[in-house]
Amino acid sequence: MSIGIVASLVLSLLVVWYVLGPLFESALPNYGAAVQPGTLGPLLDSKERALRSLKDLEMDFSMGKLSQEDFDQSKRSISTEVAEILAEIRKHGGEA
Amino acid sequence: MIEFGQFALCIAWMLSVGVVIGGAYVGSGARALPSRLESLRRGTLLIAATLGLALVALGYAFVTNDYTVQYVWQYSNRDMPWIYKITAIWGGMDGSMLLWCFLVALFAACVALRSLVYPRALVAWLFSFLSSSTLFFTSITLFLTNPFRYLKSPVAMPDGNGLNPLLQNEYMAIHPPMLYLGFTGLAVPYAFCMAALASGQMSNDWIRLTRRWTLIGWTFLTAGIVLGGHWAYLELGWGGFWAWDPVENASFLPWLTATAFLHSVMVQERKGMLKIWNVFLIVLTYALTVFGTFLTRSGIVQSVHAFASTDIGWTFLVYLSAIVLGALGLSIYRRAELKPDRAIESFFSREAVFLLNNLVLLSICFAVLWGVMFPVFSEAVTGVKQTVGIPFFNAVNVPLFLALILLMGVGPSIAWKRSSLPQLLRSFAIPFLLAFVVAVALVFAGIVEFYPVLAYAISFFGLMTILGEMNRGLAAQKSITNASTWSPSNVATLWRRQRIKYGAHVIHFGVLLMTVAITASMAHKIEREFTLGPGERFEIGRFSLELNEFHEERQANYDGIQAHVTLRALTDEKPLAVLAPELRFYRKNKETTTEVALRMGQREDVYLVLAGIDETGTKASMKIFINPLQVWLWYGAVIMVLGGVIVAIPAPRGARVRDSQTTKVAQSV
Amino acid sequence: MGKVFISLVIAFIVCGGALVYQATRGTSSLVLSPSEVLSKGASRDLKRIRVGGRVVDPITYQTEPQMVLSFRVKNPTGGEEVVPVVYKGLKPDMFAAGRDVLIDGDYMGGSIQAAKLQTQCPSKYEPVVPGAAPAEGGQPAQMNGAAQMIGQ
Repeated sequence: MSIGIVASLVLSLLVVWYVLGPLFESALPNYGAAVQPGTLGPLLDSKERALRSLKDLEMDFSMGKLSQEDFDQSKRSISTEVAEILAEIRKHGGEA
Repeated sequence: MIEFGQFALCIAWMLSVGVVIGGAYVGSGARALPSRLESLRRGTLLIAATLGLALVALGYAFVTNDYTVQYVWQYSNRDMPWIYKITAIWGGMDGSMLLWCFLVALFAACVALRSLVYPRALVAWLFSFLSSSTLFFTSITLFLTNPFRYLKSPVAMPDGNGLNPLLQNEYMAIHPPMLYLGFTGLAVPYAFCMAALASGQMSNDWIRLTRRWTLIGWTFLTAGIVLGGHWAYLELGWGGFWAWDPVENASFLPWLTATAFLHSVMVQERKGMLKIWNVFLIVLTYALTVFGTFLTRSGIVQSVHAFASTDIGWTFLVYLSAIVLGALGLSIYRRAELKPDRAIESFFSREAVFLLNNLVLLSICFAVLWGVMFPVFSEAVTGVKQTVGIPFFNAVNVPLFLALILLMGVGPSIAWKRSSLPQLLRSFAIPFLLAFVVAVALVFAGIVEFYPVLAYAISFFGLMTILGEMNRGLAAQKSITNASTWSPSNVATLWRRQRIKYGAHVIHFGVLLMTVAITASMAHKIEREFTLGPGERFEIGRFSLELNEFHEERQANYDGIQAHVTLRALTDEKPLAVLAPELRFYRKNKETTTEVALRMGQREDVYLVLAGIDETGTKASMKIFINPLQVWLWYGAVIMVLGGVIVAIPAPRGARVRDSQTTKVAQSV
Repeated sequence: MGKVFISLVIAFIVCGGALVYQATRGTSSLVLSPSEVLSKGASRDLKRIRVGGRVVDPITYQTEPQMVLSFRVKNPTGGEEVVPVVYKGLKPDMFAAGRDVLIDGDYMGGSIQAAKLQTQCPSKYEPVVPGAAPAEGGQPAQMNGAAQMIGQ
């Protein structure tokens, strides 16, 4: 009975110290990815997706899942898209 | 010790309240200072730690036979082996809810441990939503189903009530925790999704992170469901593994939606499409895990498992509404960010196939849900209560599943974005022809039923497309590695380079094996009842059975009687095995149970149940099942889980670097 | 979302709906209590019913030449009307007087011909009052929980 109470008290003190401690400290781990501000974030995402599409396209073609004609057409349209996105990113001051 | 458990549970509850509110406060405007995030993170870790202590305290009460605790008295007795005293922790409602709390908190803690690399603005909300799930289940445990209550008894109880004999089984140690890990694991993607909506951090990051966490939950859930089927098969003596019982269905529903999400998320990752759809799937998956708990604990549907109505049902309904309304509200608020970047270009594209796959999976989900809820619906609408059983589920799900398996063959071998019909015909001509040949061969071999032939042919088609896909991959890579196409080194390189893709193929291969096994056991199962005296023989299929003798045994908690039966092949006098089906009488519970005797084989399982022994004590009545290819079901499941693990483990660093190099190369295009 | 998406979704809803409707019509059965079986079945046979009832003695179980289990059921909630049940098959685990069972079958000629018989675990999740008289059938609520998770 009394052991239970003592253990409970110790536990609550430990919990309070551990959880509230950081609020009074300065040297702490910094959280990773601060996110790109404004419109730049979505643009970078689009760039990533478009490049991925290009990769998929080349992979699919090399494995014979696409005809030359489909490949050329798709490649043109994705390349145009990439160029547009890159231009947009430069306009917003990002590094393309 | 038991007060300590109660106290730890209280602390966990208070911490959850703190993290939910604190996370929302920091996320919704207050600056996300590192100190605040660190405090939230530590709070999340401690919730898991304190709930773990509560669980240990309950386990301690079980092991030390502390029958002053009502729950311990109710679910254990002194004679039980210690391992079943541990598993009895989740033998009943109260303890299983505590385990659930701990596992949700454990997943939240795992996320917290990895959270330092996550986008800052997302993290506060992430902790808040993760802990909201913990908070709900902790509240139920603390206020409604508390396992730490004392037994209200005027005298000290010398012994406990005992655990259901059916649960005194080693599977009890692994199946419920595995299933719960699946359910609770799926709370993580929900929290990510809601955090992304709440914080507006709808970049590719969250969807990529969510995918991995969904896969972890999915893998556990798969393992949990199949383990349940395996347990039922070994223990319950009716020769089957799945009965479309509401409880089984409750675990199957979120599995279906999670599977759908794992496919549609690939479309969003690449194309920026299906964003709302994915939010819908994630929230639905989580809601279905909660709904499953509701279903099994509220008594609204009749099941073999006889859920006595408890009064906690309404809390689940309230929570379910909160989940749905919350997601709906946030989706409307973020509708601009959820607009698709583009539309699907062609019917003949992988996007379209994945979409079809999603529709089939959701149709299955809807049909199962309909079947489960039909008694409730029919009574509400017509006033007459009606129900549907196994025939309904089979009639609806067999064609849908076959469609799904067919899509599974088609999907990976079709190009993203757009392809054309002639191209498809070229890709699939060989697998299709081979599958057709298999179907014809089966018909000539005497298997003429429509669905089985179709199922085998489609499975074969699926296998051929996987091999064809690998063959093309190897051939395309050959120019780089200079190895011959199917050389081990070439295969190994390909698998290493495209681990996720081939992990998925492994999962698909497991599904194909399971399809074949399930078809065989549904279509070609033999079952017979017979009675044998000593020395008499019974012939079935390619086997004969001969009764030798009876064998009595007395164990700590039961008396058993076994019939020893020699199994032989018809063509051979040499015994293949001695089967010993058993009848057990549990003294404490006054229950009679049967123990199945099983001989697993690559070709078929021989599954023997002792039904009874006549008054003279010389003749045994038995029931036998011959289940063809049954064992491949379990192999298939193991392969599926293995595939899940292959896909879920994080990529090694080297692979990431190579990935970004490819990106650079692509940029110069 | 484009035409592809919409047309796929619509085609699916139509096909799926038809499939579910067809299967429901062909396989659904009436859920009745034993007393409802007696009142509705007084004048006619009842095809495809599911009855949830509590087993009452006498129970007879013969295993030769065929396994036949005969017993009677009454309403689990009370009432004294009983319906005879005949089930040709293996006696399920934990079958005993006082147990609740689920029976699927037809009501013909004054008895239920059961095609499927399942035993329910009684009193699951219900609070227990120790020291009180054992529930009918000698089982206080030790049946439990996670039987729910054993599939079947």
